[in-house]
Amino acid sequence: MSSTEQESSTQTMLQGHIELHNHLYGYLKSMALRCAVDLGIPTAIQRRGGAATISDLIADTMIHPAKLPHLRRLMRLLSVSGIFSAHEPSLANEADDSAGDIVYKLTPVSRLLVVDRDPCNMTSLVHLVVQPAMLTTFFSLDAYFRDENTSSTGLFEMAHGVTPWEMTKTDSTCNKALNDACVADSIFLMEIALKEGGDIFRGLSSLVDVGGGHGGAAMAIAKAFPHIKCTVLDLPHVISQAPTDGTVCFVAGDMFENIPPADAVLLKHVLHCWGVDDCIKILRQCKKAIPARGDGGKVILINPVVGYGVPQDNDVIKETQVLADMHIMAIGGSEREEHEWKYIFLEAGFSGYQIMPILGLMSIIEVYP
Amino acid sequence: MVFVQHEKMNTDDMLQGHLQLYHHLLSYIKSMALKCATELGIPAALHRRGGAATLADIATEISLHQAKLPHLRRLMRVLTVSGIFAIAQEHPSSSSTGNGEIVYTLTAASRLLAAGEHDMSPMLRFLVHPTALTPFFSLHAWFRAHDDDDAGNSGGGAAAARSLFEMAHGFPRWEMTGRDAAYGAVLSDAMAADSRFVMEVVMREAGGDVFGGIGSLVDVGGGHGAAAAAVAKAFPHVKCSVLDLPHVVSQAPAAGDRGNVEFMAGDMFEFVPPADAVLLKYVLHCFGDDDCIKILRRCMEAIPTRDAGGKVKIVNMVVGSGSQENIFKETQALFDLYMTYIDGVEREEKEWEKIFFKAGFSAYKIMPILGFLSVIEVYP
Repeated sequence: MSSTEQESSTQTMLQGHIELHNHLYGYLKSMALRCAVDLGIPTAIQRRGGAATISDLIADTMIHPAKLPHLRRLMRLLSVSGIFSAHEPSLANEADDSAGDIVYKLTPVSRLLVVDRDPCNMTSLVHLVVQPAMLTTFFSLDAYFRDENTSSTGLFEMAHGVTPWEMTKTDSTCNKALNDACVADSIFLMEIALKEGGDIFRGLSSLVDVGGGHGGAAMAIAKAFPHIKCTVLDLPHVISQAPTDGTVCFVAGDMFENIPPADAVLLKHVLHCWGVDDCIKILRQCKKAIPARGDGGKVILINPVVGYGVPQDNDVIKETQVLADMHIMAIGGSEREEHEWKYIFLEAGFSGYQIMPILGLMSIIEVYP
Repeated sequence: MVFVQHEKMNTDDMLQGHLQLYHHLLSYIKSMALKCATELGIPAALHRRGGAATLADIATEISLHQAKLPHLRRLMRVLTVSGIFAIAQEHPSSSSTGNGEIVYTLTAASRLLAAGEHDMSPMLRFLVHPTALTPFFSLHAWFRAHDDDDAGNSGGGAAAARSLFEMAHGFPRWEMTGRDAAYGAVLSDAMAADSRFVMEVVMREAGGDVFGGIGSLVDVGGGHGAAAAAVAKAFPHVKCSVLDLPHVVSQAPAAGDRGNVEFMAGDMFEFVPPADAVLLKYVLHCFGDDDCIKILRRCMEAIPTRDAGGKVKIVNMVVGSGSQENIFKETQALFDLYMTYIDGVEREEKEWEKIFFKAGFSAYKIMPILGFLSVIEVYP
């Protein structure tokens, strides 16, 4: 078959058709997951001992009984795409009234969304990522590409009229959503980081978590290593809302101006919010705060390194990293490949770095002055 | 299997869950990136360049400002990783960095967004649209809506019975095209583009079976007649007509552009004009069982007996038919959830069978020839 014939063969047309539709409906996957979280479905399943039928879910989540067929359709989608697992009824258990009903169970994703989960659950991340302000921002994406205005208004600002940081300052719901999600993500990642990469923190007597928000990461470090004096630096309107357990010191300030001295600086999910020039500025301030390499000074970054250490057969990691890059483009940030990180480190006056891809999507990068 | 409560997750499960959570939450970026690339004309630009182009070529073709090149690279990266575009082997380098220049190419999916007969971009514009997307933020509230909810319900109907569309927009979807002409145009362009595609595939795969042997066809709810025109063109001996509501038919193409199709204004719940066969494309999934049965009975009255070749042809999804590969199952489930927002419903075979028999039909045949969609022939 010639390539022209192949291009327009029915088989190719239908393949394109299914891929196109699957891609277009991406937003429904985000929305369906958010809906399941808002209805409390993962928690309901967990509280039923890890398995629930549609009727159980209707009873536990205040869904109107007339919506039962629709709940079935929602659960079908979320099961096909791996958020829950659906099990055909077992004929063996005759004592069970609902022997004819499909049973839904949790998967690793939905287990993270059970509100009873210790030490944290990830529902706040769902609310941060799938919120109207973020979704609707992207309807302006093509206008953003067409904008030739050299004062470079960001995508978020183009859609909303204010920068995202201004919005967190004036909109307390937005501020809370961001801080809560960062705390949850921090507690989650630090649990793994401390287990799999604890050596990173050994030997430190002090650490400052720059842009550390409400201290989720700093408190986890202070708890695991009580001898490390942990400080959080963040903006006044963030610090003012921070709860404290007494283990961490909170300092209000501006990382572009001054960073309190410490053996090491932690930058978790900070640099990906900023363009290259701002990253270099921040890192130069970090370098002033820490001792020389020989005295153990270092910066510890927790961020994705796009494509680094990704197993050949795992498309999901790379796809998620590049989706995250597009997502953070809205606020003027970027997810970076190794060579982009290297450029920034060298421009900021650092001499070397080491990447540890131990957090799935994210890596821990040590950067040495 | 006994589930132990508060069982700690091991590191692998935690990281797997974390990754999949982000992947799933960020799914909307795929929709938006694809919409953006289409609005910028990137698939068409690649097509004009013979199906392959570098970033610089694309930027030139779409008249993109230099300052936005890094952003274009990131957009192309997302769409390449997710399979909308592909990368050909890199050019031998002429640049000083020593890196080859990436050459982007079209794939089966993006070929359907380049200009031409199969251009599905009107469908994209309709499906990835604020009108469709924003109601889904109310989905959990819609699930919980009870009749004693107050919430500005001016429609007169019980709160629990309102569609998601109506809950979000304040009026039912069928009023939307009347209130917003631009939206009406987006909808009809989408239906026309989809019809051209679907009918092309039907003609190639089963045209003779489906349309051979009939003398006349009425496309009920046929909108602006793209499907009927496709039949009339492929089978000139078949007298094709379209039945739709007055405000739809009044916007139909002028006589010269109709492709030999007759338009009739009317209401399918009241009367379907006689013909050998009735076409119902994307109609029945908009309605619940009772309304479907009413429509099907009107169709039965319009057509001859089975022996005389009478039949109804339905183009819609049969959930669970066709390929069982995950992408098909997932797309069917996605489309089904999408239809929820206008109180539509996609049906499994047994649900279709129920309404066919209740409407008095004797038999049916499912042809899963349209990927995740099917053609169903129903016989009186």
